[in-house]
Amino acid sequence: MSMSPFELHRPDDLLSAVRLLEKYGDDAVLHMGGTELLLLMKLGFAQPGHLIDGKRIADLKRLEVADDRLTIGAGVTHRRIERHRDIAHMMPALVSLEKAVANIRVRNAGTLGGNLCFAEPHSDPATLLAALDATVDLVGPQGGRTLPLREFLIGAFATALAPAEIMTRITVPLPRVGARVGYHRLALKERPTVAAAVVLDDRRCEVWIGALTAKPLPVPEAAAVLASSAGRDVTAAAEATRAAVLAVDAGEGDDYRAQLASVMVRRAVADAQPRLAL
Amino acid sequence: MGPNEAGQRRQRKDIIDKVTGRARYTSDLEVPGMAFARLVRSKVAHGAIRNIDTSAALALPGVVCVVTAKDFEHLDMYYGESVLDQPFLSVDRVRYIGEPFAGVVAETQEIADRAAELVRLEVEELPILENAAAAMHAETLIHPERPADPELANVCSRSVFEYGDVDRALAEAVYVHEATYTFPAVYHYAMEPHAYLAEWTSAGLDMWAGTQQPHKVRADLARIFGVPHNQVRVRVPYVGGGYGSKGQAKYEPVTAAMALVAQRPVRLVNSINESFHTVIRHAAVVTMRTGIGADGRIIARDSQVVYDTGAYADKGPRVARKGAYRSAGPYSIPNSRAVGIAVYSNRVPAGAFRGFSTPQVVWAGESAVDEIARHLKMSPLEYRKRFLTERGEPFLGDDAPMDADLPQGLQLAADAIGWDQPRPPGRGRGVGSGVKDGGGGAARVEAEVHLHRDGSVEVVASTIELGQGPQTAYAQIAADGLRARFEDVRVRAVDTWGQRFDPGTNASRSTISVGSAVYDAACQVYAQVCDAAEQVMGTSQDLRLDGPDVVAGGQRKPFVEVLAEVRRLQPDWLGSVSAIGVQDTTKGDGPLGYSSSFYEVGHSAVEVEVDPETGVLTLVKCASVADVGFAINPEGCEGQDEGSTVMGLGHTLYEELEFNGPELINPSLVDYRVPRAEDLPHDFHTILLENRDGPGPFGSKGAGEGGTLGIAPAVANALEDATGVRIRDLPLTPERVWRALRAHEEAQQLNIAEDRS
Ligand SMILES: Cc1cc2nc3c(=O)[nH]c(=O)nc-3n(C[C@H](O)[C@H](O)[C@H](O)COP(=O)(O)OP(=O)(O)OC[C@H]3O[C@@H](n4cnc5c(N)ncnc54)[C@H](O)[C@@H]3O)c2cc1C
Repeated sequence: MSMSPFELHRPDDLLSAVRLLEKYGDDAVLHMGGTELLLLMKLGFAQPGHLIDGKRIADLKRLEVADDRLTIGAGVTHRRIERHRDIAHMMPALVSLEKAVANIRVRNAGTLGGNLCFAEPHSDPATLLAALDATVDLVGPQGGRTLPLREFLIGAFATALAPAEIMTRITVPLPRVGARVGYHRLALKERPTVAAAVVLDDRRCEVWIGALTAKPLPVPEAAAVLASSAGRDVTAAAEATRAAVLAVDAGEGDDYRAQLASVMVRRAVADAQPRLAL
Repeated sequence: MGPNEAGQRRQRKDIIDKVTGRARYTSDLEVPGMAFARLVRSKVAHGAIRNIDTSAALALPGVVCVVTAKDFEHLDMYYGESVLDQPFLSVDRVRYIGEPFAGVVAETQEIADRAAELVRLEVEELPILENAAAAMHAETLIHPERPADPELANVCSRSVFEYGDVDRALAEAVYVHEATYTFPAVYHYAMEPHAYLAEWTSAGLDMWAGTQQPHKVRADLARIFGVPHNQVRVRVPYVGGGYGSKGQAKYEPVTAAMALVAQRPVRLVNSINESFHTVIRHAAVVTMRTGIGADGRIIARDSQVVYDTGAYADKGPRVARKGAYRSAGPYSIPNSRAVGIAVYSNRVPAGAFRGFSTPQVVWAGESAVDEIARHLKMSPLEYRKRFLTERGEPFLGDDAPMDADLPQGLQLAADAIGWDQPRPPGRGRGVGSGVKDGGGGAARVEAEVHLHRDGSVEVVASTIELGQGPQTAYAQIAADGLRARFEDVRVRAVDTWGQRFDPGTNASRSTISVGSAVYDAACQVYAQVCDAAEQVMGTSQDLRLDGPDVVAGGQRKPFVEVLAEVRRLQPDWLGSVSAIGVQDTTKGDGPLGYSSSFYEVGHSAVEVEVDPETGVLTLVKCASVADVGFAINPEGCEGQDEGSTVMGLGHTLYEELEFNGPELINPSLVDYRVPRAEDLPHDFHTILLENRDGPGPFGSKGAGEGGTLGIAPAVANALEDATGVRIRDLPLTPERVWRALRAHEEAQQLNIAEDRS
């Protein structure tokens, strides 16, 4: 099907973009890589009269690496993250995750912000970034605010974004040097079918399951097992994950989904690599 | 004379155009005054039409016309391959979700798309028969006008092949294996969706179509619109893949009908979603009983194959007939009964698809044979080699003798994956062999070769360039017949106006039939040139054409001068030397009404690894042997065989059209998962077997479908080899494999427990 006609706006700064979004309201939508948006438009699921292209906004493209955090502009592409030497050094799990997202054309155009704001349940970065407790900065007509990603994501295709609000950056606090971070996914179709992200720190462990539920699912029971066993009792963590998934899942085929989740947790732990200093 | 040019690895003639985007497909064509169409499709699976309200669509500015069956009451709207049950727009019923019941023509594609959404269909809903299994035992009839079957409801066709005494042989068998295998509905996934452009002119109907059967389309259009054949012109530019989906008429009639009402040229280009709703491959349920004699030989086979043909027959009756026929192969079985039933359901119509009915029955047959060999504690490879039909032995009772060395081919495939080497833990190996009686029989086809004054050569042959390489292979064949240079030969695109008849580009038939006619024509032109050279140059010794020159007996002279002298032509003569070649295969009377022209043979051998925790099956090694007789363009043959193997891997591991009731739920390229390059092992080989035993030029046979045949059973057989688990349903998805592994494990534990107690 053909896309319905729209007007393209290409603001150079954030405030103009917010103003344009405000001005055209429901008839406007922010366009970044367009990898999701244009598909929707071609299928007729979205028919905005105005596309506000954010690719000229320099603020959205900053990427900074510090000792204790990554600050990634919402307009940074998957490809840029995947090729970033410092991130590869400090956070190899994020880079290998990014390398497996979609295909090179999508990664070249698609942005991290676009991935999170679209809130497709089968997102790779959402799972790992939720486990790392990343925060997102939003700017809208009322000014700026910061939210934990865990709260920003509400459900399938649902986020805390208010009308005319733009995600500007994602801040990823890094666990202390030596802590291990792992991510493992299985993608039977185009996007991940199930994934697990683990953070293994003496004081603090995290286990999150992605793609099975509308938004990433924390498994505190599994995290607790890992924390109390110094990351060693993987079998118990996997079993805790199986139980957690069975508990949220009432549909048919749930034992297979639970199985996959438990396997992903085991493999994410096996894959986990220490976070290094800059 | 042996071939000189044929046998060389040649880059495809069409490839540069295609990779640079210069190639023109029907969907690229525009003609002055052209309007754009969109079909309006039913959202209801089964219903009697009460009313179609087109007023809102007609009111949209820019809409040229909106047509429904009411506009064509004076026409015979029905078409089909053998059963004319499909109207080009719904007449009184809609029978599947996605069925076109109206067409919108507008000044722009955007307007046509928007207007299509405004057309309202009012129906009285009828009971939905969501698949063949439901339809066979239903009260409701999808086509009440069709003759009833004595046993089942909604039967579109039933074919029975029988020889020997099956019941007696089964009673005498020392072991009878019985099992049911299922095969999913799958999508062709041609890169170019269906596309057409029609215009009515003073000369008649001018149709551009992405079709595999322009002459069949011409006949359908002539019949439907009541015009003579000489007023229907079907031109076929490049076609972006067919795989059977563009066989027989599809939307040519409706496009011509819209152009008739619009009084304008009209172009219709399907979206991918619409092509998913145009034609698919038959889902099938195959039940097989196989009787084994005391020496292990298969003495009887009794099969029943039910093909879900969807809402309309399309090629279903022929699919069911051939599938039944082939279900007894490729072994030498003295007693066989095979029943093939095509059943209507409220699904997307199913039609021709690469392999044409055979992957379904080979899936069953080659799984069953493996199970039998294991039961007999024999090596599945050795068992097959012992009982495969031998060269020269009549095939399936009394069809043409087998023209291939089947055990040799199978052994080559097995060797290529290291069959005899020790198996690494967690891995398994399997083989599968498929034989399909080749196309190209029962036809008389012609082709033309023209040698122009500048030495350039034009081949006119009605084979469609679908990407499978006839433009290249025919250029090689013609170059050989003419002793000309490959680069000087061009093969024309197909146009029924003035070009010679060919039944269709399908069934791996083109090279042996049309290709033979091309060779014949080229040889005739060569003979004319030799004759002229002898008169003018006094020799035709080792004559060849070198661009514009004739070279013979150490002399060189421009071809046009040679010809002018002999034929007393003016030196500025602009003509050509031409000939018409013929290939006649109408002889023979095998079980299908004619003898198989050749046998398309595909052997697959694989090594797989199974992840017991996720059920993910990984192909570690894959070898395919294509018995091509002689490879005219080895690069093309390998590409075709690799492509067909990968396509077969689709229904083996990933592909399945998923239905929620009658509704297709994954009709998009994102949701419909096909194999990708990264799914293939590095150890992935095609071996061409060239025994020069085919009927085509230089002993060639058809190719391009063999790889789809044996791959699925080879993988399932390897899975059993690795895990002890047998799965009889495709695709072998991770969940299915994991569940089977678990069930197997539980059964084993139960056995241990029982042994203990
Ligand atoms: C074929 C394919 C395969 C894929 N596979 C994977 C996969 O394996 N794993 C995975 O995780 N993802 C996958 N994806 C998703 C991919 O990561 C996203 O498409 C991409 O990151 C989206 O970014 P974009 O810039 O193109 O977003 P756009 O399409 O431009 O925007 C998407 C939506 O988000 C909104 N939006 C974008 N940026 C912002 C912002 N800064 N503030 C507010 N709203 C915003 C837009 O308005 C729009 O509604 C796949 C996508 C495709 C098409």
